[in-house]
Amino acid sequence: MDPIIQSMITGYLSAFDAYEIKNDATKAQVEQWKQELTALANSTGDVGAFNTKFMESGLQERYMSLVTQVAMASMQQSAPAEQEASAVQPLPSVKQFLAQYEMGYQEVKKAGYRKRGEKAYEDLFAVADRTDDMLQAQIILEEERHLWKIVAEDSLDIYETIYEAMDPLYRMVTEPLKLHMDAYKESSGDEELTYKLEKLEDEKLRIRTEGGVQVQLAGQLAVFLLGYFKARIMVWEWESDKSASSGYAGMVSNRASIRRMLENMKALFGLTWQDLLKDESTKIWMLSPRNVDAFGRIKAAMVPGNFEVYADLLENEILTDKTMEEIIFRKPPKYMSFVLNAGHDRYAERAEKIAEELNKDIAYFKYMSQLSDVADAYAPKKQPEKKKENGLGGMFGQEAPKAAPAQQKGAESGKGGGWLKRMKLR
Amino acid sequence: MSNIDNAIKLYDLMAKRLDESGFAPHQAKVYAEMVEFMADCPTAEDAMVKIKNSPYYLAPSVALVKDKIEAKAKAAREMELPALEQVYLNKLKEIEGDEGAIYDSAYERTAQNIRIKDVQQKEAFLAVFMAYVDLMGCSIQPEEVNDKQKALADAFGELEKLGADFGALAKQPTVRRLVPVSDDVFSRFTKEALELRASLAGVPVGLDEGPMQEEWKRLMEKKDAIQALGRECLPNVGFAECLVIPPSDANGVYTYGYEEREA
Repeated sequence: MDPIIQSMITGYLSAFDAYEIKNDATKAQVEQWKQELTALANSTGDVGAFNTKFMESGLQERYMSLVTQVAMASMQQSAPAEQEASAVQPLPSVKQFLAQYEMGYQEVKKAGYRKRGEKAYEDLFAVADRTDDMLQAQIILEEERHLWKIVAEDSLDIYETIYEAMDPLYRMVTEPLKLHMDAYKESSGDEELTYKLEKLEDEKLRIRTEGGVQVQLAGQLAVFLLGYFKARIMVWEWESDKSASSGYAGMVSNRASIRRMLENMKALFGLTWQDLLKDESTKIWMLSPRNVDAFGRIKAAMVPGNFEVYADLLENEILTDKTMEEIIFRKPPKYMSFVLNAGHDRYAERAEKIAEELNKDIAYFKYMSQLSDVADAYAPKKQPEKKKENGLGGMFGQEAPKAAPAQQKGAESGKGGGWLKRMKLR
Repeated sequence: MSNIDNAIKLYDLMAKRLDESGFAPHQAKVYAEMVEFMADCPTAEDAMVKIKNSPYYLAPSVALVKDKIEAKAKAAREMELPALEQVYLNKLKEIEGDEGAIYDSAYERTAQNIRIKDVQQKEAFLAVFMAYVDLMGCSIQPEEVNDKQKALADAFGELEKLGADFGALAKQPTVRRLVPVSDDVFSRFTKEALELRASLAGVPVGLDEGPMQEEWKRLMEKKDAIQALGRECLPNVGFAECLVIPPSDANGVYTYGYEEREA
């Protein structure tokens, strides 16, 4: 099991250890829940995926319900249990009563980053300093919602830690998580939280779809533009008549594809290419970004100078009435930068190290570095990056659009010249 | 304050909080009744014994479960999931008849299965939408268009494997709300996606090679000039990468740094 996930579930599992569960049916429910949580934790090594499944599977809601049930039963049963033994048996002291939460507190404290949870427990224990009277203590616990806070605050610890480690502009991922956290912050109790989380599911789906459309449109446009420029390089190089004609056909094809795509984008979404380049959270997807840390907070990508190249190509070539001959003879004011060729893999390693340094003060990554000795033994092996054919790399390394059939042979076979070859090597 | 006063105060506080939440009417009622039930007890210890020997011993647990189920039923109703709402209403009825039913959680699995099926169908519907967007924005190359049409057909197939009807889902307001387009575009999508599944008529595929061949002939005659231009322009083409560092919040902009270039 991933050590971070192990640590997370240990906190949840041990929350029940703080109580003596007398009811057999409740005990069975708790055991069932523990088994399901452990099975889920064993099924994935990805913390983000675990958290998502934990929420979506209903395990989180059942935890809230069970822990509240068990805590309430414990509160009610502590006094009657004493009475059963003898009519004059005293109630436990406040300190004795609160000591049942000590194990949960130690687990939260061990994690190192669950500061809200730590404070919630410490505030709970401090009630013993304010009164010796059990009923007075229970009144304080009720008025100040200490038992609810232990559950809600600790959940927020986990979600906020993950949220902080994400890219706030990656909205299709961060907005659903933020809505989830808001539900915890705004709910006054478990029933309200249950209602809110249920209703959030469709909203999260809507946000992910909207984000997915953004990524799809921006990424596709970039693929076409890069393919168009690459085809132009084939013409300029003119390694052979065949490769040059493939380049020419590639330019014509990409130009027609871009025009069709933009027309449909306007009709379906009311969006223009300028809208894509104006929106900060969308345009990044035109630089073929790839994650260099656990949540893609920091990414490696093509350089932002390409935004100006895209705009120039669209405004002054692709969407004009210029002939292809006029375009081929045009000297563009700016030139495309493709991903690194020979240095790509080395940059990827360097990027990870830089990201580690930049992230070191963020709680999630701080916590990860504390576990590094343990985590290294369990860290998944890196998969070799799939070689892309068009110099794009990243998430959109699709095959460049092929030339029309008459000019197809040799077009994308790597038989181009120096510049094209450089893009093929990676 | 005597300890019975404190016991009554405690239960009164709980009753009021639960009532104000709007989501715990059963618990609010039970605790309010318990306040009355304890009123004649001289001490808190007497009150606890009295409660333990009465239906009020388990009543708060039962009320908690009922409130939780009602919260889920309310959510299901507002999400327009009648089958899911019915599972919860049935469970509430069962508990009314036998309080021991709160320990049987089989209904949770039934509810979860309904919820999962609903989410899967919605996701499959959205997959059809994304496949449609993909087809509408793909390259005009025949191979690519055919691939995207096949992907659209596959997306329909996945939806049908779940036992869902595309047209019926499209009419559901909860499904409509998931698709980020205007009503007119949604109507266009629901009609065109079905048409495109069957035929690519109306979709531009490939290029008209006649004019291209004419233009290419003219370009062939200018090969030397094009190559000369290439020698001038190609050194400007770059190979570079950078890191993209996010802002501190969603109102900020990215910072690009740690750039590396190849000569």
